[in-house]
Amino acid sequence: MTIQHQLDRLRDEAPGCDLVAFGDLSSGLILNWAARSACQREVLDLLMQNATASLALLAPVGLPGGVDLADMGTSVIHFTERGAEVFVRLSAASDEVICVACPLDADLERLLGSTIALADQIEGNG
Amino acid sequence: MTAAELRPRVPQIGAPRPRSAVMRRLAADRAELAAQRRCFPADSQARLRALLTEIDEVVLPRLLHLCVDAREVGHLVVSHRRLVDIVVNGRSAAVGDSDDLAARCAAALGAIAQMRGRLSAFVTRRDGLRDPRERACAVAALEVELGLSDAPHGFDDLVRRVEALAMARVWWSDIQAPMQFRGAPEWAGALRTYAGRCKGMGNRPCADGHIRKSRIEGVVIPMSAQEVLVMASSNGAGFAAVLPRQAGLDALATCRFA
Repeated sequence: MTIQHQLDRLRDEAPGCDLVAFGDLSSGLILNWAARSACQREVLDLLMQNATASLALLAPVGLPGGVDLADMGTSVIHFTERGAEVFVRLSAASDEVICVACPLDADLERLLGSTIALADQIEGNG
Repeated sequence: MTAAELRPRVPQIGAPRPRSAVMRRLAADRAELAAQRRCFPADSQARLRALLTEIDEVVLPRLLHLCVDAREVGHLVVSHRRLVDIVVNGRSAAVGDSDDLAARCAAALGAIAQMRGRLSAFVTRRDGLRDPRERACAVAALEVELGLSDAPHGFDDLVRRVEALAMARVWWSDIQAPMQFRGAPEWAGALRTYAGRCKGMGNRPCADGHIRKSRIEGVVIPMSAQEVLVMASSNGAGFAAVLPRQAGLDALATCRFA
């Protein structure tokens, strides 16, 4: 299944998923996307900006025991008063990222799980 | 016949209009638009609301010419439901740093709302190509600057929920203020570091001025199956807190940001 088909499937099956995109952090570009409605390029550019800024906050530092360092560094949820965006890197060292935009009242835990599962599939672990 | 009956009937801006009237206005040519002179309410608050409504209803590029007692005093440049500029007595609000555009436009709107005399307006099309560097501000941003929006309460609501749930948190009242900490001491160092990264996140410049800047911005970082780190800022104030994972996500989903 191509990445585009996988994005289409997540958009269709995940409740609240308005837009799902596959991007490259090093170039700052969204490479593929699937949206419920027409999506302007500016929205995709802003999504990638938010992904870059949000994932840059992740580097673990001085954390107490109990923190799962394997998980940290790959996923983050960015939010504003207008909505939320879930960002998951394919791996902690990867520049490739899955971005999901959704309303703030969406089931964020479930969307995060679906996005991590998609990242694993694309990375070849799923 | 009384004086009131003799005065030309000028429809008031801000009054409800049927959809057919709005459609006719969108389709009107230049001469028709110029002929549609309408007056604003005399009360300053109602006048301000009417000006904002007017901006919010204009999609195509337009100049809204403002007249006090029939003398033109300036104009608003409006496009895509956003205010591009206000020129009053030859002074443009758009000149200067684009980050402060909403504040300058709001101040100019406030001054117009306070003007003495009978304020009326007519609309003409805006000719010429739009400058790609042009910046504009949406009505929501103007409402915040004018103190007409309850947006800050959304952040207060989030702060209250986080305070109730947090295992540990740091917070700051403005970008220059020192951070304060409360909670489990093992989190103190890490929270201060993450908060330092988060501070100013809401002040990042928006690459595209046509996408409205957020009033509240934050991130949730899953730390483990049980915990999340939530950081958020609004208008210089902010916090970073460790919360139980599900309760933290639920708090976000049910927060009254609107």
